[in-house]
Amino acid sequence: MQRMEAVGVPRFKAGEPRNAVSHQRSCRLSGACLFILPGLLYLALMSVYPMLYVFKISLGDKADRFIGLGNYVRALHDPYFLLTVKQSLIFVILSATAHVTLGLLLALLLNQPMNRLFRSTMRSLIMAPWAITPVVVAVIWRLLYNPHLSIIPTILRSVGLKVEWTLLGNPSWALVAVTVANIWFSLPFYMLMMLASLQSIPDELYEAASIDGAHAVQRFRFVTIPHMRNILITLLLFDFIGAFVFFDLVWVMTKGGPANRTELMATYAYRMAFERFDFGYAGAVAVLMFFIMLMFSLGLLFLLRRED
Amino acid sequence: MFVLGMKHRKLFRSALVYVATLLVALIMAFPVFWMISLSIRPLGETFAPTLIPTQIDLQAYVKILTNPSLRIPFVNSMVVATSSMFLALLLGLLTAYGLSRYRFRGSNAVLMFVIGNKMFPPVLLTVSYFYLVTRVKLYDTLLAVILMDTVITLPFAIWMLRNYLDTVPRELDEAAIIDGCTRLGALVRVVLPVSVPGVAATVVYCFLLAWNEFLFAYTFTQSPENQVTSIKIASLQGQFWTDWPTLLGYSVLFTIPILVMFLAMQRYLVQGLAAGSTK
Repeated sequence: MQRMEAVGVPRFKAGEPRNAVSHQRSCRLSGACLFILPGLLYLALMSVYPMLYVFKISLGDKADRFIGLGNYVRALHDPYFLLTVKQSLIFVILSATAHVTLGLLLALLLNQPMNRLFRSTMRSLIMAPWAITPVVVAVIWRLLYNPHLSIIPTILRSVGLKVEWTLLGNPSWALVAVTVANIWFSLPFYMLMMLASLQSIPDELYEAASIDGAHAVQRFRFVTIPHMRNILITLLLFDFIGAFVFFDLVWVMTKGGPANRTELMATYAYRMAFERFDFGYAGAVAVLMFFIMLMFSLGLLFLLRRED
Repeated sequence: MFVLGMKHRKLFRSALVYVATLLVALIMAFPVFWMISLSIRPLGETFAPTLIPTQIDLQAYVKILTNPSLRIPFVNSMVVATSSMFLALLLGLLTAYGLSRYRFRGSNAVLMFVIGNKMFPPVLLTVSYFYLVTRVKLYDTLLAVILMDTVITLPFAIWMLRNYLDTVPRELDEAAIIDGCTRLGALVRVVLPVSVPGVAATVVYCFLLAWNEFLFAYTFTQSPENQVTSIKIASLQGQFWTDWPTLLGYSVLFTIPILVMFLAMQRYLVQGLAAGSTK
């Protein structure tokens, strides 16, 4: 907080003229409350309360009778749930790795000197997937993975590759296919955030490093990476939080099939609630999903912070 | 051996950068191009398609625009997205202003609480919402969807607006207050007019979030007259047969307005979202 206190300057010219008076502190707090409360109440009622209410739901059975931790015990013995945990982990780790590495590469590429018009045109083209909603992403990739409607098998055949182009129907490839769609559509977001961070690195740092004899790789290692460390951690966390609980894309693209091979924790919880009407179990799965997500995010944060 | 001079090496490097950038841009944009390209072909040409359509057929678009059951979802999406955006803007502006102008003990904790809401999995919330919505009899209403979408838009609105308001000098409000404005008056008459870029970015982003929302609408609306566009798109996909040109044309009409808004606002959006995290 900035305060200018100079002898002889009239009080109203100071940065915060009234905050020195002690009883004003409570006034300030109540003033702040008037502004802040409506928004906070909304979130408390519509977000925090439902969040806590799930815990209560998860302690009941199908007929809403209290069964303690029964649903949690059941989940830990449910092979389908364990499969969804594994598949969610694959989905999240592949996505996050690709987002951060490809995003950084693209950001570095777009940060190279080039014609301004060319750069902004290319940037707009690369950004296009970001504006596409997950439901439409699912439609687009179902189209590209469709053996009859896609151009990709035609291209592959023209270069002499004979492939079966039925990725979404193939249990061993479906999860990868869904992950690729996920990587594609949020890559621009990660790229733009990293580009913003790259552009905020002062040129003097690079110049100083050059004068000290650092070559390009060293400049990247000792100037770029340390500067971007925080944003990289933030983006990784962001990706973890989003991807662990992601629902729309998978649901519209495959509904968890074929043979449950693209079922993720979120789609499984949803299926239990709104197809099997087993809300207690669905609640338990959702709560476990939340804690697994939290555990991994905090673990990541801990690991990366420790290296400081 | 072929040795490149300094000048040639620079030229080669620059050419490489251009080619690589172009290639990446084409790959990233290709799926969108493919969606548009297939939506303007006659049905017969969508199977085993060529890269460039040989025949243009806007039949799918005519069908969408003349069929009321395909048109209603657009109106509903507009209503839902606009309402949720206004609600988020109203609540968000007040909260953001409070957080930006009053620095009290715990104001950072409040901000963390707001951001923390983004961590709650939407699927988890739907399980609870099901009980709440049936209890207050809001099942199958657009109001329920608006209220739920605002849970997603509001934290973003608060975050983006607070970041922007922090860049507006406090002296402005204080001058207005000395001139006889109330705090609220200062916000509306003085701070808001100079915050147009920040507010615009927030408005666009909140609109998009609500426009794109799928899960809540999918779960809590049922009748055709309450369908929003994202649900209609999902329901146009058949289990065994899909009318692809209609589905794709629908997706294109759903996407184009957003794409235009996005590209027009890209600078402000990146600034708004990246603020505070790129340090």
